[in-house]
Amino acid sequence: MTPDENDSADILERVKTGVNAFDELVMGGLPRARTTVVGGTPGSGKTVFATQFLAHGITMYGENGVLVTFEEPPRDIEANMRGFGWDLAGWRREGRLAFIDASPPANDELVIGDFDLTGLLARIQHSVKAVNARRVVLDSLTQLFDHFIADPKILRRELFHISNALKQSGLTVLMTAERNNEYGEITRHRLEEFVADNVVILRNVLHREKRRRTIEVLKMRGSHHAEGEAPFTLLASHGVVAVPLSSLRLEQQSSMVRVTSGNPAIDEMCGGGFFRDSVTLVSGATGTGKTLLVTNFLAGGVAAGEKAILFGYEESKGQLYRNASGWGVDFARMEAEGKLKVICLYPEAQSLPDHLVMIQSLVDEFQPNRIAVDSLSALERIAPDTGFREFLISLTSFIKKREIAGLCTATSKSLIGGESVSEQHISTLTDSIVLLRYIQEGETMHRGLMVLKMRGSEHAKQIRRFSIDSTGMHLGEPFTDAPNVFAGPGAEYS
Amino acid sequence: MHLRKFMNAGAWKIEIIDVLAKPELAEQAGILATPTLTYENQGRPRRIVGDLSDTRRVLEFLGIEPDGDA
Repeated sequence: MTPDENDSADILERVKTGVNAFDELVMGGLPRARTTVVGGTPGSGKTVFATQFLAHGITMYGENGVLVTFEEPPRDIEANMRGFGWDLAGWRREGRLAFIDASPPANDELVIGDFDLTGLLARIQHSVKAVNARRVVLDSLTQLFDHFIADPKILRRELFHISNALKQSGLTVLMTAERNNEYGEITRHRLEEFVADNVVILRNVLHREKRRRTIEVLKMRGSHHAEGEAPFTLLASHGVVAVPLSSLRLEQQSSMVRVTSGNPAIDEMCGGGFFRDSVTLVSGATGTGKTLLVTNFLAGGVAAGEKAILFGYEESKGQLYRNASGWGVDFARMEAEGKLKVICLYPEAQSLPDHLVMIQSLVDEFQPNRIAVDSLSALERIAPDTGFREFLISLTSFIKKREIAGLCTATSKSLIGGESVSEQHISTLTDSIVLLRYIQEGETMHRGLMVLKMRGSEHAKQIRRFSIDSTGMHLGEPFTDAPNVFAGPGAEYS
Repeated sequence: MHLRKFMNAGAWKIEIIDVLAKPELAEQAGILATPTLTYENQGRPRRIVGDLSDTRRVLEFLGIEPDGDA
């Protein structure tokens, strides 16, 4: 029997998995009436992904499911998945989900001679009929192979048969299988070659003491899919949350609406303020006034009747409040009035994808008009390079998609000049860049501000000196004897 | 069938269940592979999966004395 390929010319109907960004990677979902093998090392999230596929079908699309478990007994799975908000036991009682407990038998068993898996197939078909299922999960095939360890050839033949029988009944099948290595053969026993129309790989790679989870679509028969690894995270009460990258398109609307930076003089330097759906980077050494610009940005928005949200990764809420009141801004009152939300967190508290998902969900919940992140440099220290770049791309495109104004800060390493590491990544991703620098003039140190880049607008080219007092930032005259703001310490003398 | 050939009728009660006709019994018994011989011994229930082509091993596993000449 060969799989029926006639329908691949038609547009394949898609079955949504419940992992939104993943569905985007595979052009809308897994093809209906096909078999997908999900491979991954132990702990890579296979069972969660597979269960989410069933849970989403039940709760969102009225598609009931059958879960065949070869490893853990159903009771354990029910308990383990409760943390993600999935009431498997309840669905089972309502007849929307059926378990097939194929975990290893307690009594002695011997294999003598040829056999087939008609028993298993009959049970699956029986349960499918009982709950009128559209989705079937087998988790995990590797345990089945361990059970019948001496007969892999028979198992491959039988799994091929089961896969075909289920597909012919119009069922969308997801099978999980273990892998030995993150980068090696696709699955143990190479069973994907026998049963899979589609192959998806979950990874949980240890890189420089950080775990990085990714999902990759390796093969999708008769259909296009995005290539490469996309990061994802496992969240309580959500399950698998993938971070879309390759599906991100530069398609954000670009509005010409200006919003205030919170400082009239800077607005003027920018040609009338920041653009509403743009991301501005403020870069400067420690103590140059980045957090002050953030405070102005938030207060300016609130004063104009907007809502603002701040993610602080360097200072505690108390410190931020005290700083703000030192510049004449009352964060506590704004927050009490529901105009402002301040979230302070150690970057190390969670992984970068978790931070991103948290920012996105809080923004969607609070619906702010402007967002500030202070600082990107603090977040950068918890992630490997690729992870940070992906985070920045996702964050900036998210901000633009929501059409809100964003302000991020980056700390440059040297006090006088030089670029911060974050800048190299983010400068092409942000629409505007404001530099804050210490500038030596004779025997005194001044602070200088310049607008380095302002996409789609004219802007002042001068370096303006500024001072900070109890009412905030005050811009003064431009520097006349142009110092080199990009050079490191002492470079201006060379 | 291998099974009947080697066991005297009378001493054993053999029940044959077609899993396709009665999948609910397969579910109850937790059957994956067919054929499965389950030996409902009071002390120690045992199962054999496969076509029982190796009679000696079957009898050994079940702990049954071969009939007659073996």
